[in-house]
Amino acid sequence: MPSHLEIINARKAFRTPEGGRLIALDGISLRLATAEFVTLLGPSGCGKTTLLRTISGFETLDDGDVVIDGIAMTQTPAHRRPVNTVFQRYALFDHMNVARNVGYALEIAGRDKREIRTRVGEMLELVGLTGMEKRSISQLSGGQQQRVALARALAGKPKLLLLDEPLSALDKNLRQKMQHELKTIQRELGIGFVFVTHDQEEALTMSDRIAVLAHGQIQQVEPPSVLYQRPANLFTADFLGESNLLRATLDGSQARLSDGQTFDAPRAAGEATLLLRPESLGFAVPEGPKLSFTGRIRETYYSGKDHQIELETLAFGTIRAVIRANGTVPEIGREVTLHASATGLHLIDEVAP
Amino acid sequence: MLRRLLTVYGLMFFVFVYAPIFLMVVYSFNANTLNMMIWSGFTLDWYRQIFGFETSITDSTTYVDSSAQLYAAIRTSLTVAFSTSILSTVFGTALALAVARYRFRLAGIYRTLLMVPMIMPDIVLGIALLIFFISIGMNLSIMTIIIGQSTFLISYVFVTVSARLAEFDTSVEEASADLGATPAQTFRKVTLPGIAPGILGGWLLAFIISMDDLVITYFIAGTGNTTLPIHIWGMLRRGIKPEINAIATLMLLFTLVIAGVGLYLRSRRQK
Amino acid sequence: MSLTRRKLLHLLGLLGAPTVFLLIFFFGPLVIMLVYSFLTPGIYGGVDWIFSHLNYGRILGWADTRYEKFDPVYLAIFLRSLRLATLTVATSLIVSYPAAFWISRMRPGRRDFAIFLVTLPFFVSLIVRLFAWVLILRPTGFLNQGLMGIGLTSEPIEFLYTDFAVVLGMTYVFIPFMFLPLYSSIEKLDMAQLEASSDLGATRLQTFRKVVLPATMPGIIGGSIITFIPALGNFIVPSVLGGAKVLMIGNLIEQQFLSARNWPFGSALAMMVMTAVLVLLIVQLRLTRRGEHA
Repeated sequence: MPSHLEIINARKAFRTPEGGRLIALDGISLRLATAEFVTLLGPSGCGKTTLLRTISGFETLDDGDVVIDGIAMTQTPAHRRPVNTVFQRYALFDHMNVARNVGYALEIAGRDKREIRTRVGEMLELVGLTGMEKRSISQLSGGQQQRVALARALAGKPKLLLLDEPLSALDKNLRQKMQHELKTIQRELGIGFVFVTHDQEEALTMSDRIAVLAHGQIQQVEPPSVLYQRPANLFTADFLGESNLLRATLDGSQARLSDGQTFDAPRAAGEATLLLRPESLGFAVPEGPKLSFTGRIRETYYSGKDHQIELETLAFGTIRAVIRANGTVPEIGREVTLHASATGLHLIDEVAP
Repeated sequence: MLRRLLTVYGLMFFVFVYAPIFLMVVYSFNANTLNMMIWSGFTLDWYRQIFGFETSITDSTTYVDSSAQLYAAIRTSLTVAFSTSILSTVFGTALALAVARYRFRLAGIYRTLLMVPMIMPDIVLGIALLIFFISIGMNLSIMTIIIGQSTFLISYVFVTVSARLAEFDTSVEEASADLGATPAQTFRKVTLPGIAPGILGGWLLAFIISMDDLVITYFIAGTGNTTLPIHIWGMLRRGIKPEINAIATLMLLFTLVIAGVGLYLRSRRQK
Repeated sequence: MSLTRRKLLHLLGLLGAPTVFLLIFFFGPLVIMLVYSFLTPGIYGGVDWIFSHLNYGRILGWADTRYEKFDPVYLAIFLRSLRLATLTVATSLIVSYPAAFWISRMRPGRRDFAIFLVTLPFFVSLIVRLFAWVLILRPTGFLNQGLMGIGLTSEPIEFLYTDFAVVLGMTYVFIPFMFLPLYSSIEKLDMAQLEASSDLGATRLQTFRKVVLPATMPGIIGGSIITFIPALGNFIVPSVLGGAKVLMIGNLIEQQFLSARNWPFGSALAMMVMTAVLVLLIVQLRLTRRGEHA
């Protein structure tokens, strides 16, 4: 697979106002294939925006390289890099109308007016704003501004599009709609997208692969389903989705939970953590080997499509489960037993301190 | 109860602010040539006199300051105001850009020192400039007025443009660079239009303050370079005359037009 | 690196000309004025380049030569200027504070318009505004006409050429200077805090003293200082409304330059004004610093 963007051992530290040093990027390496949609996911301050800004050229690396299409870009200023950005708060030029915003990159490149007009028309059609050329920016809704920002960044045919939390200012419905549209546009154009977000659901929905960042380091890079089901460490497991993390002791063939239940785990002896997603627990008794948890229901939350249950157990404290809404849900205070199949369980080689 | 009291007080505040100006405007149309404080009918004579038209005022009641002198003063004021406001706008904007856009060690000191000309009592600056120009052998002229006024008007422009720069989102400049614009192109196409309202506002402010400056100009104008405020100041010192009402009203109208234009431009930007 | 060197060149290009201009034409004159205040006045105007501290001695008390003699009148005028400037600050505060409070509680659109109305007179010629007060205060003016009309007095009262007229005039002229800082700190005041205070049992007066006043103190201090400074050195207002009876330090300085032609003495007087301003600014800095720590 040809590598389209390559980040090699990127390091960057900032001086804080108090005189300290803040390490934003601590040796990050990442490869992006052609036409791949990669999401940088992490809590605020994890370095994801800094990483994006080193790709676009707004930050220079202390060490390491940024290579785009085989050419090292580390010393290239932002305006000579073949990448474009959709900014968090759009950064539209509010003294220009929609058409001039979208055509800006072409205007700068000195293309002729007819060509610019055609291209602007195409771009507006792509983002669903046909005929809005003459509008001024302040006349647009937040969602429309978002679309103009996208059209503007795509008009110059970048090899790579960078998106810095572009949907965070939109309300929930619009955000979901835009997620789908972005995905479609990316597939149509066949260029790479690097997408920054702190919203895990957004990352899972859109990405080909997700890179989870924390403390300036990449924790794991995997397709969403792998990341969700087989997180490499506790941070990823906890950050992505709800999870029950139970300590397990391994003896080489079997794993034992703290209440004595065992299941097959043919791996090296030692301590590990069992990941049980809430949706893998239920009232129905599965066939084959299983794990069971008995306790008192402490709280239930109804969300429309399902019920979340908090079960207070003696051995593990609170266990979370998600039950489909059409099933009946016992009332708070009742003692119940939840079951999970004990095949294909995921163990993390790390234990909580 | 308290709220009503506050409203009454607030309305009185506006009466205090506007009553003097209002009375002056009304009495500029007073036909009474003997006692300007007693209303005896409507006339445009005082305005006619300023513009050199024929009036019904008999010679004994006019306190003639020739219109020619008035026009010369207006011409001087406009020349000074145009030159000063342009010079201060260029310098003030350059300083504001340097301080806002480049992280250099002296930026804080610049910001503090540029406050000094604004809080300096104007009489102190006026005489300091007078001593300076005389002791380096510069003749007092329109040139010295322009230089003298610029020393403090630069600060006003600096503050106005800096305020605009502070609220101007730098990510727009990044967006421009991201789309391929060189720093020079970004400045011309994005930064300059973005801060244009601030520059225009600073220029208007400098223009109006320059037109109105009396104290500093008074000391460094020398003879023969009478600006409008100095001309009126002279008329006032020689006695209160009815046509001052009319001149004042015209000046009021002039500043209102300029302020109105400024506000109109600002509201158009914001749309 | 070439990138940073080009940046340095840009920076110098922006800073160079204005910096040189201000160094020569702003700080240069101030330094020369300071030097002049320590020179000896020439007998027919002009200066002799001989060091002298007697210019200050004439004001503060130690000069006792034939030409340069201490005269308490200078100090008295200086003190009167301080007093009138202080009174102006107090009056402006009393006039502006409730009005700023009132305006800050208006609907947004109306509020902007009210602010516009307050600042508008600032753009009207200073002399024009003062002249309007001459019309009102003179013996045959509107105020006396009104007072006699309702029978409060039978003889016109001489308002012009009094301390009252000067303070009134300066208050009027400097209203925007006081109003705007006050308004911006009152506007920031969270009205929910006032409700919280009264909810917790405070009377309106207690709420004002314990919540409103401390919260708006920066505006009060800021407004007071930028009103005090131009009031202290003013000579236009006392000339128009105070006449020969109410001299302020500004008038004295003007006389030294334009009639007495004693520039060193005038410079010394101006340095006194500068010193007062400087002291004031240092006090403000201290006050705001302490405010930040509290």
